[in-house]
Amino acid sequence: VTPALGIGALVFSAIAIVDGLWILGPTAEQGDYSKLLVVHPPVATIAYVAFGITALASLLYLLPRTRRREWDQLAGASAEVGVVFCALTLVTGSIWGRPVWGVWWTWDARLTATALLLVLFLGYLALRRIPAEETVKGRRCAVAALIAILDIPVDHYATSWWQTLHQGSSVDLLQPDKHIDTSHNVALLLGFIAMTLAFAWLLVVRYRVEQLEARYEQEGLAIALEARRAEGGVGTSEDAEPRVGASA
Amino acid sequence: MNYVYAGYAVGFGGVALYAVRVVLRGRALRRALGLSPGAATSSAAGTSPGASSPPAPPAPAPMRSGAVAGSTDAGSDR
Repeated sequence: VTPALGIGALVFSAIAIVDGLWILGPTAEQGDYSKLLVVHPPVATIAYVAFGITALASLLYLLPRTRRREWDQLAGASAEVGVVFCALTLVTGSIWGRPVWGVWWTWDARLTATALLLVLFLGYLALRRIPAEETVKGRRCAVAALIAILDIPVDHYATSWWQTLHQGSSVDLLQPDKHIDTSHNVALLLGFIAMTLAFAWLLVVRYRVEQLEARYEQEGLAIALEARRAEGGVGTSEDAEPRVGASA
Repeated sequence: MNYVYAGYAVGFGGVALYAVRVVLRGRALRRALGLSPGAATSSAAGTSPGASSPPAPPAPAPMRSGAVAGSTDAGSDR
């Protein structure tokens, strides 16, 4: 499944790029800048999805009946991918904002809430790196994720709740042709498919890396213990020191 | 149009760069754990059951020196 996701992501990315850059026409309001519709909204939506998966996995980890280490690992993997997509959301949005709004950045409610979301999940990733007993760390991170996720509704509805420079939703799923024409809808759909496949592939691969890291931590500890035992038995640590250093 | 190209480069390029980073990290961990063919040349070679390590020197009879402890230790890992 993983190679298929990777190949699918590459193929749909290529199609989305060609369609967006060279086939999609300009709009009356924004000219060629509307072509950024293929990149920015899909990346932003995927960031929401990634953080949503983190929150869901964290909740499952917190519930005693469903508590498994894999949920914590999935939460960590999804949060890292989400942070990348959230950072890309801010950068691509800034690139879009400069020619259309005239500024790279403004303390608009939507932009501020997105920046806050990025900072919150960067904090979550930092929290995961603080050494602690496994269940304590897992519980602590799960609670942090569930607090951080509260920013997503604020971010999403910011354009409705407050008067913002950022535009409202480009697409209404109940009325697909409400805001943009079919060619732009198709381009947007291609962007969404490409980014969704890329996210799915990244999540699977990153989750495996998370498991490998956990295994490496365990084996590193076992090697260190073995070296200390050898040191105690023979009375020298000269041979043990380099091996511990090499494996840690 | 330069902003459009920049947006596409950052969006798709950023995802691609991160993908490369994740793949390389996974490969490095596999090598360190002895799960890949290149494990023999890694810094952690010989520390896991799957890794092959260079042959240990013959152990002298008295079990006192560090060299003896090293060879014994290496052997126990394999």
